[in-house]
Order: sequence, then structure tokens, then C-alpha cells
Amino acid sequence: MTEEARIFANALAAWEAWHLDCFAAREERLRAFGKALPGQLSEVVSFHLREAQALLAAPIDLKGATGETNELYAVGRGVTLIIVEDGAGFTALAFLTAALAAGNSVIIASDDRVLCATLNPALACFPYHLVQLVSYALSHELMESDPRCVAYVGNSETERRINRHLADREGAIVALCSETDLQATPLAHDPFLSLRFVTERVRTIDVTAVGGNATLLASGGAAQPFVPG
Amino acid sequence: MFRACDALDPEFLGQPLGKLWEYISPHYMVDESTWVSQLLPLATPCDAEKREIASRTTRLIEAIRADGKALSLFDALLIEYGLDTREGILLMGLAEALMRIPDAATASALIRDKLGAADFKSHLKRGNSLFVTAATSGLLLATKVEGLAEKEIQGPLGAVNRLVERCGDPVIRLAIGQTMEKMARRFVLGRTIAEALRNSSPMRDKGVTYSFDMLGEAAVTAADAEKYRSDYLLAIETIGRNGDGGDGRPPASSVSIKLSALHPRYEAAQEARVLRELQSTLGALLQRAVARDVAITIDAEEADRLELSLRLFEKAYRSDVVAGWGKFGVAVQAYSKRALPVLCWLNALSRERGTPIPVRLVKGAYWDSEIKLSQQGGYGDYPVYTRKEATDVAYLACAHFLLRAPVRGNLVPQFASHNAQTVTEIAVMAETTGQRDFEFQRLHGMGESLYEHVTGGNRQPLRIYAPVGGHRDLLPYLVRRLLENGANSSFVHRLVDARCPIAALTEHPVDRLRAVSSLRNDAIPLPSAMFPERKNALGINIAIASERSSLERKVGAFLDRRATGGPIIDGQSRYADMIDKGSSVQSVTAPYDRRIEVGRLALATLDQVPEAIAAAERAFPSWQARAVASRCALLEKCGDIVEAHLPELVALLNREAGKTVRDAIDEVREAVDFCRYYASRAETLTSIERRGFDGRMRHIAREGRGVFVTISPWNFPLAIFLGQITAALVAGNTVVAKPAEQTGLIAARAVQLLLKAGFPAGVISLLPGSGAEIGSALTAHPAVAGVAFTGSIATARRVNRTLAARAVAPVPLIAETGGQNAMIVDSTALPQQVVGDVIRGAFGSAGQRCSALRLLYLQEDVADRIIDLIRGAMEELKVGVPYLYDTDVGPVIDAAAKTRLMAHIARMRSTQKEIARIELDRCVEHGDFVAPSAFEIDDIGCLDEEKFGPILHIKRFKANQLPQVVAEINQTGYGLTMGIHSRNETTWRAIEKQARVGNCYINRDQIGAVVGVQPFGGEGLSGTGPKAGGPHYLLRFTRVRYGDG
Repeated sequence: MTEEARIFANALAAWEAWHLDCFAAREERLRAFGKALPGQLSEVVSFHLREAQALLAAPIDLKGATGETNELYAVGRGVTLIIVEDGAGFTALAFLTAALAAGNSVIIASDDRVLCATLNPALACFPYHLVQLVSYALSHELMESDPRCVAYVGNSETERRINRHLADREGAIVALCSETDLQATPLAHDPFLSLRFVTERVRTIDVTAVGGNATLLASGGAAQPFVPG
Repeated sequence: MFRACDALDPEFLGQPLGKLWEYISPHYMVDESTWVSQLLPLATPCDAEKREIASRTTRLIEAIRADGKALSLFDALLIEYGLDTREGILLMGLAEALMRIPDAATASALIRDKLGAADFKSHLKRGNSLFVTAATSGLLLATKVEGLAEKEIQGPLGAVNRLVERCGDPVIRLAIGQTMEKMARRFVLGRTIAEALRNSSPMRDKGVTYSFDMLGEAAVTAADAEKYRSDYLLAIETIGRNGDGGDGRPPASSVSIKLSALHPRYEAAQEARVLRELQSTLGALLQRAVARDVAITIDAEEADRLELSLRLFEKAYRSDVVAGWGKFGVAVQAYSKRALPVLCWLNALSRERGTPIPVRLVKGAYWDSEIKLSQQGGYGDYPVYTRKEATDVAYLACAHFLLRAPVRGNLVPQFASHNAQTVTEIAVMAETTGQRDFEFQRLHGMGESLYEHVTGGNRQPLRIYAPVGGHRDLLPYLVRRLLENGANSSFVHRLVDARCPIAALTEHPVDRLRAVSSLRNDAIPLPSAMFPERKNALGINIAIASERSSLERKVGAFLDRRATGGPIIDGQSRYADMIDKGSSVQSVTAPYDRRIEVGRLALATLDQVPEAIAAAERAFPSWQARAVASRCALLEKCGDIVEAHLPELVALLNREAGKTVRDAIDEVREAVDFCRYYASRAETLTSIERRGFDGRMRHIAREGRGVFVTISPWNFPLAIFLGQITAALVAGNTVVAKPAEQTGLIAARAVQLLLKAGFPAGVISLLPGSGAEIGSALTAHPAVAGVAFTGSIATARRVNRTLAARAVAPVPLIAETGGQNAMIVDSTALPQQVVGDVIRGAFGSAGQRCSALRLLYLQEDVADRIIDLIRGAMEELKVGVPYLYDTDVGPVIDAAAKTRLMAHIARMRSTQKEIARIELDRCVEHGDFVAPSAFEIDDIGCLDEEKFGPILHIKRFKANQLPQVVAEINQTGYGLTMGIHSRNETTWRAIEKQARVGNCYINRDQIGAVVGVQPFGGEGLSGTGPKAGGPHYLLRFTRVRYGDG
């Protein structure tokens, strides 16, 4: 097994458990992670965790015809690969927080030593292999594995190259979430960032399949008890 | 329109039969407040009568409560153990499913699931009425029998849990099974008609008579219908042979017939066939019934079947066989708004033929499903009342009509009620009018004490309505009916509950109804008002003659109209221009008959691509600058316009896309819903304030990205087409739309309607053409700021590559692609429900839905039975031209699709086991039709990619293989829809959690996602998200803009 295959397999295994966990469990780990980071980096985690909490923590009840429940909820897409050029720590951390809160496992491909040195001790807050820091050089091969999200922080030229590379692959279409304006960092400040890392699901339950529609009956229109015909 | 007072007018009642018939259908969903206010006077007794009724009812209830024997063990338990909703429903759920589960493992798992008190709160809101259920009591009864001392029982779960702890699984299964048997015996008079007759003997000795019914599920196959027919015949012969009419115990017993049991397609759309075939079945039964002198009653069922049932009744009633007999009757449901006009018509029918018609007046047992169906269909109103009090009032009004002189000799009333007040009032009414020729009816197992005391002093005949049949088949049906109608407000329970004040039971329904603030129940909004933030799209119920004929007339006006279409750029159609310049124009023919030209379509040329994009770029700045509210208003207007053009669009969908009438209506509704939903989601685009992690306060707004390209498919040529466009537009983008080549005319009409709604020229352009040419040129254009695509995964990848190859920054691609959609069915599922959902899911719309069912997994223990039912149900499908109402399956889209599907069918036939294939008849020989087919496969590996047509694949699994089944489905890489049929909540929750699909449907079919209710879209190979028709869709069409706070 090549190194990148092993990394990816580990990330996938970590995702299996992480994405099935409830939001509160993920939130708890992320809070600890945020606390373990210095200064404003900690604020980045808090900000995106708070926003993700509002968007993702609870399923959204969608009102439809009586006798059915419809819930929209979000889960992580899979393994997220975050490719980071040097000196883009805030956005990288924003992406990391949003991706984890959404229920993804993450591989960060970066040679930014400061970023790695800062993150590394704090990653102990997470389950093993949930977040892996790997060398930037592995990003190309890792894209060939099956990441379901790819994020990039850096320059426009590389952004386009990565995008082309992703588009050329077979398999699922993977959207690139990228930040190249490293001054204003619009994505890093986007409160909806976590939505870029989720897949949405709807579960529809016919609660009258067995018979009986309690919600409706409670509203006072019930006819007489069973008189056939 | 019919007025309630007409029922009292002899001149009105004397009108010809045909004239009176015409009043029925238009009354289907008459305005409730207006109608109920007309009914009230008919149901209002005079003061003296009212006092008499109240005093007699009080005496009756006192007598019942004073009579120790009257309080059966069953009733006593109900009261003693004050069961809460959750327990009641858990146990009912167990009763409904347990007896049909063949394998021990699944049965034990279901018992654990129900008695382990799974979390029901998630889908049953708190504060519901109590469900005091028979099943629960039956279970308690069993625990007593099993030897638990009464003092030990704290509640049913306590008792059962102790039982579970003491014994092993097999013992529990046996005990619970026996309990269910006991419960079944309480409601089922006998498993066979012979047993039922034996069990009815003691009551018949007392002068009570019976109506026997082989109740059960509706037939879904011809074989089922035949089985029910022979059951009915046997019942008639046996009852007749028994000769209970001749042994001094009058009156004769009767048999109640549920027509849905006698025909697999007993529905309005199949009227011609049903009238022909069912009449002959019914005629033969009637012949034996008359010969044996066994009275027959036709039961009433769902509102959609009322008119058909009456037509059928009339045909049978007019036959010479029953002339002068007077024992062929029909049930009428008082909760139906049409009840009174129906009674007027029946009266005239009887008068004309001179043969009395027995009429069983019931309140009706399908109330909640009628409400649900009307909401789903978006109908103008409900066919039933929204208040119980209104149903009670209507019942009294109908009773009043039935006891009056003009009806005497024509209609013989049979009053089915378990309500002491109703029963007393009818007795008083009858005394006033002098009508003595009527009977009361009650259900076997219910209301014994009531009638014991009513008939004690007053010997009005009583008939017991008694279900007959195998417990396994009958119990699910009975439990569902009980649950549907067994609210705590039920009179039966309150009658014997000493805690309930008698005064509460004697209050007259008229007074109760007059005391409420509005005659219709505001807690149940009209179907149009069911969404708090927007209007529901209006639908048309084509099962109702008056609704159907009006639509038919309007659609008919467009059926022969040739349409034209072509590129629309900057608000201008280029069709005429292109014709003048000699551009090639494509003849568009109907998929169901290629000899029919539907219209002509001018395809866009390559040089029109930059032209359209330039127009869209020009229009962008002012469009983006326009207030969100103003863009929303245009969208809402567009929704209204599309809704108003429903007949024209139905005709066009019919002709160009080969859609059946029902599918076409649904599609127009979906398009309307998209417009209104996205308009209502505007708040996601308005600006918010946030303090960022850097401590700075920011205004955060969303704005359009620029020119969006939308590429839409032919399978929803109106709804998906408009859905993509309207989302992009309302988000502030301008749009160049490329519809599927096969459905350019519909697209052209839709764009005209957008422009008619007031969208400025240039914000929306249309370029019909091929994907390879026009689609590629559009997505290669550097100005394109985003693409919304629906189609195959292969095409989506090409779009993605073309976009990425541009020398510009990446832009959003929102792709909805195909699915390899599965349904998983375990042995707790109800086979008839499964089969209905499978047939709709796999063959509806000729399988040409992204959400369609492709792969059915059946637990092996029930697979043979379900496969038999599927085969039988497939044989009943009508494949045909889509504009006929009785067509179930129309054509596929074109010859290329047909060739691909036929090749797959050929491969499946040679390598897998064919289960069924419909023979196509000659009426489809000029179109592109593919016969619905089903195959049993041994390995999912034989399905390489999505097969977009009416082909179902079935695979069996063992009960312990469920996790592998889910893993296998996940491994296909697709993840769009999934269906699960299981009564075991633990099972379906586990499957739902593990399945990587976008839309999961539990205990229903997996098609027909409703905008804003079931946002639609998948994951993996099925799409990128976000979900169309969901709260996060619009965001992806925008970019974020910051301002200082």
C-alpha cells in the first residue's frame, strides 16, 4: 500500500465513525480543539463552530401534508482534502473547522511549518486519524483517491490547476472550495461555510402507514370509531 | 348547485334521475362553512324534541353505567390502565404486523422494538389525544391470563417487560401471538363463514341479525379479486343454506361487499373496464344472493371511488335479477359532503324502479386519509368535514331525510352508530315522523351495552356488522381502521367511563357546532394554505367527474394545436427570423405516435451562444441591483401564470414529452411550487450582521454571480427547467437556458410565460439545441459564472471539464445526476402496501424519473408472495397513449432510449430470471414504448449503470444480511433515493442512518418529492447538492458580499 493510500484509508475509516456521531459530540471535540489553539485561531474555531451549530446541529422539520414527517439534515461528505499554501493559516483553520463540524474527516496537505506546528498538538483532541497533516507534495496523489471535498487556500494559478485535475477524474463530481484572496479572505468569514462540506439528506416517514394520524385526530375532526363502509 | 333545503322539497326530489345525478359530483368539495350552515336547520330538533332526546340519552347512559355486566372486562381495562399514546400505538403497531411475519428472528426483533419503547416522539408530536386501543387491552388481558396477579400490573409495559425477563424469546412470541389472536377474536366473528355463523347463533337467538363481511385489503391482482369473489359467494351460499330467514329468527342475515376487494383496478380512471368487469362479477353474486335470499350491501370506500360505486350500484340495481327484491342496498358516508345529494338520487332511483333500497348510514372510516390525499393533491377543498361535530350534524341531517315521508317505501334506513345520543335522537325522530321501517347497526365487538339497553325497551331491529376472515389477513386492516378512527374522543370509551360527565355526552351536536367560532376547523387549513409561507400549487382531482370533465374540455382545446419554438434572446423569439433565413427547423413528433407532428422547433446556432450570453451580461447589473423583494414578486407572478396555464401545459407535456395526464398535472404543480418556494426563500439573500473572528462587525449579503447557464433534462421539461431558472434568477443572476433537445417546445413556452410575468428581456434567454454543440459552447464561454445541470453523470463530468478548462476562476456547478435506487422490504412490511409503492415507483412515468425504483430487495421469507403480487399487479397495468385517463404507463422519450432499454431487457432475459413483462397492444405500435418488465437478479453486479425506463430488478436477502444489503447499495456509488418498508423502527432507523442516499422514504413510495417538503438531490455519483427545492439551494447561486457594520 502506498503512503497516500494508507493515509486515505485511515481518513476514510475515521470518517465512518465521525459522520455518524451526533453534532453535539463533534462540537465537544471541536471546542476542546479550539481551546488548545492560541489567540485568534481559537476565535476562528469558535466562529465557525457557532455558525455550523445553527445550520447543522438539528434536523430541519419541513411542513408537508399531514401524516408524514419530513426532516432535512446534513452529514459529512467523506474525506476532505485541504491543500494549503504557506501563510494561509486562518482560512485553512476555517475550512478545517467547517469540514469537521459538518462531519468530514480531513487531510491537510501543507508544508506550512508554522501552521502544522500550531495545529499538531491540538489535534490530540480528535479521534485517531480524523485529522491528518501530510506533506503538500502528496496532494496530487491524494486527489486521485476518493476525497468527496477538496478545499484550497493559495493562488489562482494552482486553484485552476487543481480544479482541472478534479474535473478530469472519473467518479463523483467533487467541488473545489477555494480561497485565493488572502487579504480579504471572504470565504474564511462566510457564516455559511460549513454548508460547502455537507451533503444534505431528507428522511420522509409515513407515520400513517400502520394506520392512524394522531396529529390530525388531535385537531378534532375525527369521524366515528370504525364503522366500515 | 344543490342546497340542503332542496332535500325537503318534493318538487326537487321529483326531478328525473339524470338531473339529480348531476348535483352529486359538483358537491364533491363544496365550501364547508356555507354548506354546513345549510345543513344545520335540517339537523336541529325542536325544543321539545331536544329535551326529550337529552333526557332519554341521560337515562340510557345511567342505565348502562349502572349495569355491572355492561362494563365488559375489555372496557374496564381501558379505563383502569389509562394508557398513554405511546404505549397504545406501540402495541397497536405490534398487533398490525406480528401475525404476518413468517420468520422467528424478525418477529422477535419487532416485539423488542415495540416493547422496548422506541422513540416515537420524533414523528408523533406531543399533546396528542390518548389512544385507548383494543390491542393494548387485549395484551393486558393476555398478561392476566398468563398468570400475572392484577396488583403486579402497573401498566402494560411493566407487565410485558417482566414477562420478557422471565421467559425466552419463543415463549414471548407465543404469548404475544396468542394475545393478538385474542384481540382478533374480539373483532372478527369467525375465521370462516361457518365459524361466524356458529358464533353468531346466541345473538341471533335474541332476534339480532348480522351483516357478514370478508373484510381485508383491497385486491391488487386478479387472483386476489377471484379469491375474494369466491369468499363472498361461499358466504352467500352458506348463509342462505343455513336458512336463518326461515327458522323463525327474522330478519335474514346479509353480506356486505367491498368492491375494492372484487377488482384489482377499482378506481375512477378505469371506469369503463370496472363497469364492464365488476358488474358481471357483482351480477353473478347478486343472482345467487337473490336465489338464497341473502341481502347484499355495497360498502362505501374512499371519496374518489364514490361516483364509480354509485354507477356500478345503479347498473346492478337495474338488472332484472334484483327487481322487486328490496334487499340490495348501499352504504352512504355522512362525512362526505356529497351524502345528501347522493341520498336524493338514490331515492329517485328507487322510486323509478319501484324497488326499495336499504341504505346503511355511516359516518365514514377514511377521514384522515381523505384529508391527507387532498393536501397532497393540492385540491381546492376537502371532500369531508373538518370537524367531528359537522359530521355528526350531517349524520343527523341525513337521518332526518331518511325518516321523512317522501322517502318512505323507497329507501329503508339502517343506522350504524355507537353513539348513545345519535341512537336516541333517531328513535325520537322516528316516533315524530311515524317511520318504523328502519334498523340499527353496530360493529361486532363494540357497543354491546348500548344496544342492550336501547333495544331492551324498544324492539327496533338490530344488525351486527361482523368481519369474517383469517386473523392474519384481517387484523392489519382492522387495526389500521381502528387507529384511524380511535381517538380518545370516541364515544364508545367515554360512554362507560364514569369519570366523563354524562352532560358532556348528551350535548346536542348542533349546539356543539354552533358553539365553535367557525364552522370549518381552522386547525386544518385548506390544501392551498397548508404551507405557512406560500400558497400550495392548485391540483385537480381527475377521479371526480365534475373536475375531470372541466379539465378535459380545457386541455382538449390545446390538443390539436401545433406549437412552435426556437431561440429566445433579449426577449425576442428568433423563430420567425430563422424561418425567413432558411434555417433548418426540426419537426417535433409525439413519443406515443411518431406520425403526429406536435410542432416545429428551430434549433439554436453556435453564433447565437455569444449573442445570448452578451445579452445576459448586459442585463445583469440592473437585474442584480433590483431589490430582492421585486425579483420575488416577479417569481410569484410567474407561479400564478404557470398555474393559470395548466390545461395548455398539460396538453403540451402530453404531446411533446409523452406524459400521462396525472403526471402532467403533477409536473405543472411542481413548477408552480418552485416559483413560489424560491420566492419565499428570499430571506436567505437578505443581509445579516456578524462579528467576525477578527472582532470586526460585518454586513454580510448574498448577491448574484453573473450569467448562469442552466441545462435541463427532458423527463421534467417544465418543472426542472423552471426550477433551475427561477432559482438562478431570484438569486440575482441572469440566465441562458439550454433545454433538452427532445422538449424544446415546452421550454420555449415556459420562457414566454416568464417574460409574460414581467422578467425583463435579457435576464432569461433560451437556446434549444444539442448538448454536444450548444451545451458545450455555453459551458466553454468564459463569462459563465455558474451552471445548474440535471442529467447523466457522464454529461455532468463533461460539463465540469469544459468549465474547468477555461482560463478563469472555478465557478459553481450544481449537478443533479442519476441514481441506482433501491427499496428494502423486510418481512414485517404489509405486502399490499409494498406492491402499490413498487408499481408506482418502478413503472410510474414509465420509470423515467431520477427517483424511480430500480432495485427491490426482498427478505426471502416474504419474497415469493410479494413477487406473485408484483407480477399480478403488473398484469393490470395499462400501457397506452398518455392523453387517455386510464393509461398508467406512457411511452419512453425517444427511439434511442427505447433501443438502449430493449438491449438491457434482452441481456436481462438471457442472463437473469424474468418475472413479468407486459404485452404491448397495437395502439402503441407507432410510438416509442417499452413494456414494463421485472427480473430477479442474483447479483447487483449485473447492473452497470442507471436504466432509465420501466424495468424493475429484484434481489432476495436473508433476514440477517441487512447490513450487507445496505453496504452493497452504498457501493454502487450512487445515492439518490431509497425506500424502506418495515414496521420495525429500530430496523428502518438503522438502514436510514447507514444508507448514503439523498432522499430516504420510509413506508411509502420513493417518487414525487414535493418542493420545500422533500428537497431533492443525491450524493456521490448522484449529484453535488445542494438540494433543489430546499432551503440551501439559492445560496449556491450567489456570492457573498461584505460591508462594514
